[in-house]
Amino acid sequence: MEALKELLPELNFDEEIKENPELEKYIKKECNEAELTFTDPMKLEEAPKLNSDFRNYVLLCGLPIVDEGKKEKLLKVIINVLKKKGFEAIDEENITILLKEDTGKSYGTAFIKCDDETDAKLVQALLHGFALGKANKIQASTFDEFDRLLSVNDEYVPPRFADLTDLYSYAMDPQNDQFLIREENEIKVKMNRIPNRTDKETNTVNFHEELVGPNADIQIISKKNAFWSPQGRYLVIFKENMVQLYGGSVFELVREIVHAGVSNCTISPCERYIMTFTKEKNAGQGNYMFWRIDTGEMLRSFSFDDYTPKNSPHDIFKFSFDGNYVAKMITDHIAVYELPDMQLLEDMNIGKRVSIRIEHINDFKWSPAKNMICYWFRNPEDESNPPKVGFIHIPTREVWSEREIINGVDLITKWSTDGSKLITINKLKRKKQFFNTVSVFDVNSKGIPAEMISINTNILNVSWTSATDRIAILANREKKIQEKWADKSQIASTIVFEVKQRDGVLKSERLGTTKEHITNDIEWAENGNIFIASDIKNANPSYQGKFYVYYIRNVVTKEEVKAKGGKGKKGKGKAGKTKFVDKTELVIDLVDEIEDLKADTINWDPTGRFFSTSYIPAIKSMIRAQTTPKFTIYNAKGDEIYSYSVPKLQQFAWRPRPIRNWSEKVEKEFQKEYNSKLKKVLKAESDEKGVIEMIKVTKEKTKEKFMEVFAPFMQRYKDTKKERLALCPDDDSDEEEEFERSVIADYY
Amino acid sequence: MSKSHKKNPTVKSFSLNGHSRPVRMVRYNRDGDMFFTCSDDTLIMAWDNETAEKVGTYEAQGACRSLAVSKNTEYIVGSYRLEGVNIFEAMTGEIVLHLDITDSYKAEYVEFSYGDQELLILNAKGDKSRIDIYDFSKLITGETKPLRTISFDEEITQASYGYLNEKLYLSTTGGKMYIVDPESGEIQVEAKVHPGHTIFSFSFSKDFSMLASCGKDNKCKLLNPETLEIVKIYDKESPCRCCTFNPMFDNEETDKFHILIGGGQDAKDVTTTKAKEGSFESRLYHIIHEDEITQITGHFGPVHSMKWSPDGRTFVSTSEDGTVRVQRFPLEYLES
Repeated sequence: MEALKELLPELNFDEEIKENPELEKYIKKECNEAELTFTDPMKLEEAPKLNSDFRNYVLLCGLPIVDEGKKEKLLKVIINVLKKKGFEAIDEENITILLKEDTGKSYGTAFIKCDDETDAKLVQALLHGFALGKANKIQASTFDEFDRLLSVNDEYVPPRFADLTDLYSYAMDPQNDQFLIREENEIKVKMNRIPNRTDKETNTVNFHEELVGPNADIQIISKKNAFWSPQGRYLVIFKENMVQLYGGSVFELVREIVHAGVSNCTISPCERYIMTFTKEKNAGQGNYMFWRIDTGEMLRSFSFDDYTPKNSPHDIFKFSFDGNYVAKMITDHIAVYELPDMQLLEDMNIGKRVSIRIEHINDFKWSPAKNMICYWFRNPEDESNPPKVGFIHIPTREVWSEREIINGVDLITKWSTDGSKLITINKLKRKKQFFNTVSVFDVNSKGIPAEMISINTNILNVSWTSATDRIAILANREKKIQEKWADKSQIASTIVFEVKQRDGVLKSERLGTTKEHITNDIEWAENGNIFIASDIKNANPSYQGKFYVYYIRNVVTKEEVKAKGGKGKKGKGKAGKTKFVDKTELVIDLVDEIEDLKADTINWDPTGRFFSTSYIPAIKSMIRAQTTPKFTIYNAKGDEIYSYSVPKLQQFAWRPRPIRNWSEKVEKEFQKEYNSKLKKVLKAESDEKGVIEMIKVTKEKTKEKFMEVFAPFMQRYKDTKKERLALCPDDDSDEEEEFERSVIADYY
Repeated sequence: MSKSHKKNPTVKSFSLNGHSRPVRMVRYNRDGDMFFTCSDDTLIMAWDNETAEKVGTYEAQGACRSLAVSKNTEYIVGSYRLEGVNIFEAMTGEIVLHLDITDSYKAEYVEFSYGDQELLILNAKGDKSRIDIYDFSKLITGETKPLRTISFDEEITQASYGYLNEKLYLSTTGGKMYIVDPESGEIQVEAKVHPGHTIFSFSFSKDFSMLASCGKDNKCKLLNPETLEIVKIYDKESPCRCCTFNPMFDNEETDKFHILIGGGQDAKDVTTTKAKEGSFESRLYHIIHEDEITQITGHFGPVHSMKWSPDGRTFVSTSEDGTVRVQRFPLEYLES
C-alpha cells in the first residue's frame, strides 16, 4: 500500500474508512493487489513526453534586472534591437523573462523561442555582445552551446601528448608481436604471445592479451580503418577532419593533425613526416598536405592542378627510404622535393630547382635502401624502341644505368625488401608472339649486372627473398602466352630459382618445381626457406581459401657407391665392397595444406614466424551476410594457433617492426656477442641473487638466535629504570639528547 | 694496511703524545665530554673529548695501573701499583686521600659501583687476591676501613660490578670467570672461558646485557652475563687485551651491533718482531655475525685499553707505545 501511496500521493481512503471501518480490510487487500500490476503512468509507452529539444531556444544573460513593471519595457527593447538588425520574426510572446518568486525581480536572463535552429543561431549571433547601456552587455548563446559550456572545466587542460621516449617500447619485446583488429568502431590491439615452457606448465597466461580495447585500460574508437606506420611506431586513427597518431607503451595520443575531410594519409618510412589527403576542396587547405610528426608543423600543401588532375589517388607522392625526399610522377617528369623544406630538388649543373625530365615515363619506384629511383619508360607510339629501365641517384641526378628490355612491351617492377635487387617481369613480343621473362638486377654491385630468366608459360606472380637470394615464379601450364597479365587463379606450379652473383655476373640456377595447384599468389617467409602458394582475391569463390606451405630443405641421403673391385689376389672381400657417400639434395616439400574457407588475404608477421589468413569482406557486400568474418594465425609449419571470428570484424593488421639498418653480418656478430654476454650476466645475477638471499636468511636466523639469549637482558635494563635511579639518582643516560644531523656534520 | 681497511671509510685519528711510558687505561666520565688516561709514568691526564686537547694532569708517585672517575667528575681515583691508591679532586688535581698498600699487596684495579656509593679496589699478591670495598662517601672523609674484604686464592685481573651492583664479576689469570655475591663473597657461577690463558680484561655493554672477555688465547668471547656461557667468539689472531661495545647497538635504525677489540703481541716480544706482525691494529667486529668489518691501525705497541665514547662517535685507545689515540668514525659509518 505504501508503494502505491508514493506513486499516487493524492490517494486517500481515510474518510471512507472513518465512515465505514469494515471497509479497511477490503481496501487494503485491493490496494496490495493493485500494487503488483500498477505502473507509474509517466513510464507507460503512451504517456505524453516532454519536448526536450531546445535547439530553437536562445539564452540571454547579462540583461538589466527588472521587476514586473519594467519587464514589458525590456521586452520591447530586445525586440527593437532585433528589428534594427533586420530580424523581425520575434514578438513578445516568444520571449520569456522569469521573475524570482520572493523578490519579484528578474534573474537578468531571458529565453527566446525561435522558429527553428538556424533562426536561433542567427538571433544568438545578432544579440551576442550587444551593449544595453554602459552596465549591461548581452551574452547570448544557444541552448546546446550553453549545455556544452556548463560541462567544460573551468581550468584549461591542454591536450596531452605522449612522452616521445618510449615510442619504441613494442620493439623491445623481441619475442611477441602485436596486431590490430577493428570491430565496428572499437580498435583492439592484441598480443600474439609465444608460450614458453613455464607458461605451458602454469597455463594461466593469456596469450592474446588485449592492450587496447574494451577489456583493456586503453580505449580507442574509430569508424574508419586504422593502420600502423611503416615501422610500427604509431597507430594511425582517422577521425572527422583529423588524423590521430597513438604510440608508446600505453598508446598515448602523440600527435593530432587537423585536415578537414581527411580520408587517407601516408607516413614516410622514417616516420618523421606524414602526408594527409582529402578529395574535398576546402578553402585554405590543399588536397595533399605534408606535416612534421614531431612538431605537428605543416610543411607544404598541394591542391589538384594541371599536374595532379582531380581524382588522383592519394599515393602519387612517394617518400624515399630515409624520408629526406618525396617524389611525384608527372607527365615526362619526376618531381623530387626535399624534406623538410618541401622545395624542388636543385639541379647542381644548372643551379635551378627543376624536376627530372624522363620522356614517356611509365612508372618509378624508390629503392628501399638507397636514395635511388628506379624508373622505366617507353614511347608507346614508337614500337621499334624497346622499354628501358633506369636507375637515377638522388640528389646528384646521376643516371647509374639504363637498360633496354629488348622486344619488350610491358614491365612490372618490384624491389626486394632489402633493396639489393630489382625484379622486373617483362612481356616481350617477337613475330606477333608473346614471351615472358623475369630480370633480376643486382643494384649493389658495380655496373648493375642483370640476369634474365625465360619462362615459357604465363607468369602469374613472382616473389623474391633476400635471405637466400631465391626467386619463386608462379606460372601456369598454358603454352600460349597472353598479351595481358593474368589476374585470376589458374592451375599453376611454382618454379624456384636461385640467383647468385659470382665475379660480378649474376647467374640463375633452377632449384625445382612444385606440384600444380589453383593459385595466384606466392609469399616467401622471412628466412627464405618457406613459401606459401595460395589463391587469394580469387574471382571464383569455390576455390578460395587454400594455402600450400612449402619448405625448401637439404636432404642428406646415403648413396651407395660400388668401389672398383680390384682384381686382387686374395681380393674376394674387397672387390665389390660398397661405400656410402653423403649426398645433399635440395628438396621442395609440401609441408601443409591449409583450407581456410573463403580466406582471401595472407599476411606474414614482421618476424616471419607466423602468418595469418583472414576473410574480411567489405561491409556492404552480400557475402558478409552469409559468413562471419574471421582471421586465423598459423605458425610457419601451418599449425593453427589462434582463430578469431566476430560478425563485426572489419580489419586485421600486424604491427610492423623497426627496419634493421645493419647488415646481416654485423647483426650475426652482434647477436653472438650479445648472447654470450647475456648468459654471463644472467648467470652472475642469478648466482648473486641466490647467494644474497641465502645470506640474508641465515643472517636473520643468527640474529634471532642471538636475540633469544640477550633480549631478556636488554629488556631487563629497560624495565628496571626505577632501581637504577634509586642507585644513581641523577642518571640521565636514558634521556640522551638526540644529535641533530647538522650538528654532527658541523662536528666533522 | 689490509684490504678490508681500504674498502671501508677511513677513520680519522689523532695521536695524543702526553705520556712517556705505556698507557694502561682510559676511562670516560659519565657525561662523555672528557676522558682520562693513566700511565706507568706516574701521571693521570684529563683530555677534552671534543677537541682532544689536554685539560690537566694529576701527579703522584709510582706507576698508575688503573683509574676510576666518580660521577659529575668530582673525584679521580688512581691505583698506583706499588704505592697504593690516590684520590684526586678532579678540578684542582689535589690529592684528597692516599691509601697505602697493605701486606705487600699491589693495587691493580679500581672501580666505582653503579651510583658511586662504593669503591672497589683489587689488590693482588702472587696468586692471592683481595678485594676491598669501601663506602666512598665515608672514605673521602677519612674513614679508611673497608666495608668488606673478599679474598681469593687466585690471581684476579679485573673485578667489576654487574648490573645494579647485584653481582661481582671476576676474571683470573687462569682463564676463569666468576660471578660472586658482593656481600658474602660466595661464588655463584664459575666458568672456564679461556682455559689456561690469562683474561686480560672484560667489559659490559652499556646496558649490562652483553659481556665480553679478552684472553691471551687470541680470542674475545661474548658471554651470557647470567650463566657465563660462551655465545660468540671473535678471533683476533693476536692476544686480545681489551674490547669495547658500540653504545649505539640498541638503535634499531642503524643496527650497530659492533664490538671493537684491541690488543697485540705481548710487550716483551715486541722488540723481537716487526710492528706489522705484532698485529697491534684494533678490529671492528659485528657482534652477531662475527664478521670483521674493518681494522684500525696506528699503534705500534699492544693496546692496553680502549673505550667507545658514550655518544658513539669516537673511541680512545691507549697503548704500550705511550700514545693515546682518539679515533673518530666518519659520518658514513654513523649514519649507515
